[in-house]
Amino acid sequence: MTDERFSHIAREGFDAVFASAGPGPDWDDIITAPPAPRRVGGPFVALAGAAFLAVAAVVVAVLLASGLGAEDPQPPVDTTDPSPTTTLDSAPTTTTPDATTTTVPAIPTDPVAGGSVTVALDGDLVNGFTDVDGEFRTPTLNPLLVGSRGAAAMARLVIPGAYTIDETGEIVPWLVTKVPRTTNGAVVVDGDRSTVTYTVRDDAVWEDGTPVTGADLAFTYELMASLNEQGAARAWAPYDLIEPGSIVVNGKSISFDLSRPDPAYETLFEYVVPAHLIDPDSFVDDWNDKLWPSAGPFRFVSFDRGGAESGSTVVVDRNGSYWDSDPNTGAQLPYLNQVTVRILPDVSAGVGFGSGNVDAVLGQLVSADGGSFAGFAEDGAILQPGSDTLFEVLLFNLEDGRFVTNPSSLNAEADYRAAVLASIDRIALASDVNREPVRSIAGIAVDAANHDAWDQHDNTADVPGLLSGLPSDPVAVYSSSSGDSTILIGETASNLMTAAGIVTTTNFTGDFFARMPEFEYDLYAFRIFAGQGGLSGVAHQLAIFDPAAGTEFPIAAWASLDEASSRYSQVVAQARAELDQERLLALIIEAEQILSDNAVVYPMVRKQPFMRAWWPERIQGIAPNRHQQWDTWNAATWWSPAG
Amino acid sequence: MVKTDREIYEELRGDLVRFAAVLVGPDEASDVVSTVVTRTLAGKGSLAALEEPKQYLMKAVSNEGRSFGRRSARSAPLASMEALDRAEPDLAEGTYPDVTRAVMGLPAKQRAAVYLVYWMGLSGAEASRIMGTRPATVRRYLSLAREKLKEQFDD
Repeated sequence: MTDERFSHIAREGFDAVFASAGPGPDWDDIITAPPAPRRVGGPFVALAGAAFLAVAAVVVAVLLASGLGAEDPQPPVDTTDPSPTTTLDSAPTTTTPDATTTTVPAIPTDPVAGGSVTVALDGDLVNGFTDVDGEFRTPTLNPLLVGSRGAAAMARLVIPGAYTIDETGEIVPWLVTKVPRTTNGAVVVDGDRSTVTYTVRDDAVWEDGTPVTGADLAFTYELMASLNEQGAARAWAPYDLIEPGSIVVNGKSISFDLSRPDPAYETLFEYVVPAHLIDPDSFVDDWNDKLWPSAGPFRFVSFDRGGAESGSTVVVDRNGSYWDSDPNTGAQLPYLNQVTVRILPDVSAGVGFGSGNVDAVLGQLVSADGGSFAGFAEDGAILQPGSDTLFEVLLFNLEDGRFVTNPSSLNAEADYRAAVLASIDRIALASDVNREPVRSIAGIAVDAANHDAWDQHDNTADVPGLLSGLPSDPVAVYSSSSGDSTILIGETASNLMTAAGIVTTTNFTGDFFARMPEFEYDLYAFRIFAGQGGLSGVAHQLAIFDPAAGTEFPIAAWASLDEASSRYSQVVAQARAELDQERLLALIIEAEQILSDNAVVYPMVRKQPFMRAWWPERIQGIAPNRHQQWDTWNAATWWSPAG
Repeated sequence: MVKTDREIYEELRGDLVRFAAVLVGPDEASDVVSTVVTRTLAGKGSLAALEEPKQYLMKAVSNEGRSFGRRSARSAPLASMEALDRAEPDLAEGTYPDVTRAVMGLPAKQRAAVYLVYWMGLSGAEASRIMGTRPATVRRYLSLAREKLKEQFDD
């Protein structure tokens, strides 16, 4: 049967059905209908928070990759002076955390092997959810499946990935010898064809001694494809970048063609699965209450799901076959014999930090102000602000809808926009709200990518001159959501603007995100991620500011700057398809330079949303890494001074 | 210019109802579309908030069609994909031409692939994203559908 004949039959067959189906329901009938039952989980997770999380889903498109690095265990430090960052001349300083103690116990400064620790993490492995197929499911420990927060943190102790993300945001190799790049020969571009090669480290083995090979990576891909087909995968991207049928396995190596050029290939193989130990047909059912055999620093021992009040408990112990060593000491990793992890929905479950039952409280269990944990600092506990790559950004609406909110809006005036940026002294703002200023969006995600494109707005003395030629007195309305920290930042920024001569009122509403697509705000601000490790994340996140992205990212309303916005669209599109890291960085910087030169958005301050707490005489080596969602990222180098 | 939810829906309405009709038959198509859009509005707040409204809603229709297939076939919730494939929409006796019965008699996933590629003109990759499968699988569905129709119309 010819293609034409087949097409004709299909169309003819469908036509009668379509005629019977009618035009479909009217919009008015839909919006007046009672809400359909919500289903949670799967590829179309109906998350709470409606439009806020719809936008969040966009900005979290780059998944929070986690991994295990070779971090040097930290000696105790005198951290009585928090010394908040007050300059934009250096990269954001999360590698020098602001910590607060009043007593530093005398404890060893060099890591010692042995000992065990108990840590608490946030997560929910107790309460279930309704999956896409309508079935109620309990949370799973399997990090590849649709699951809950907590599963990935546990998985990082046991399951290695091809890469990890270090404290500077660089994607660095873990299971493999190198992250494939055009510069190291592991990414070869030949016309429209781009071939990527991963090579597993020679010494990498599973806990039974079987070498980790390219076949395990290939198996991981096939497994992900199968899970995706079943609707069971936690995330399919970036595996859709692998051209089906192109994979070639050769011992420790695997090569494949990209289905399209996209720098996000660098986040492939976040977790690797042992081909010789996993039954793909029962994978969905087999690993919900245990973790598969390890190639990471620890081995799974036990899982007690517990209850809503007690939380869940997972125990792992040293993987004697772990193949990595501490690059600073040469010592075999991991240092600890055993780690017990309590996974709790919140601190109200009773963490036991003060009573000595828990040595460290990690993740996001402790609020940004320390909450009830603040008092432990007096007893010698270390409290350290945690952060991620979230930052607060201000946008100018150039659509007509701005006049609904502010009939006197001067957003179309370039000098006015530049004046607003200059009036918001990022250092002063950050200091007033106890945050870190943003120097560049790229620099939040990757330290080495920091640049000075935004520095041109740092002089508040420029404001009077910029305002002098405007057609009317500057009046602004600053809109944002109604979270406490958002209001604090918004009020402070508005006060700075008013002090500089731009009379600014504020409007903080709970339905801010739901109304954002209407583009009726004047100035509007919210928090987004800068990308999570690696330049590919930045490239994709910058699309958020592309007005041409339309409903894909319905938050940027500066399309009327046609020349600038069209060049921006072009640059971001190029960046999202650029495989060469050097050219990618150049495109990212150009994109931010366009935003800055046209003063249409302004990245202001970074958010520090939570604290970590630990007893330094019991556990060492906990290290901040804003690029890793999971504090277990460097658990191989945790150590216990007690030995 | 940013579109309103109504405008987005009106643009996609035809594609959605046709796709639903392909999956569950003409009588249930409007219900499926209504359910999908209502649920999306409840979960996401607006259609304009979606990254790719068309792909999202088409995929949601695909999923809802699958659920319909499960219910229709009175299968267990975790019924095998083969069982889902056998779920056929009801077509009233005597009101449809043979060619329609033949096309709608194809397994659901083959019907979906044929509609997306041959009626909507999507690429295999685009169709695969909506169907939550791989392009190679879509090609296989098309090949199977072609063989099936060939048996009935070219012999």
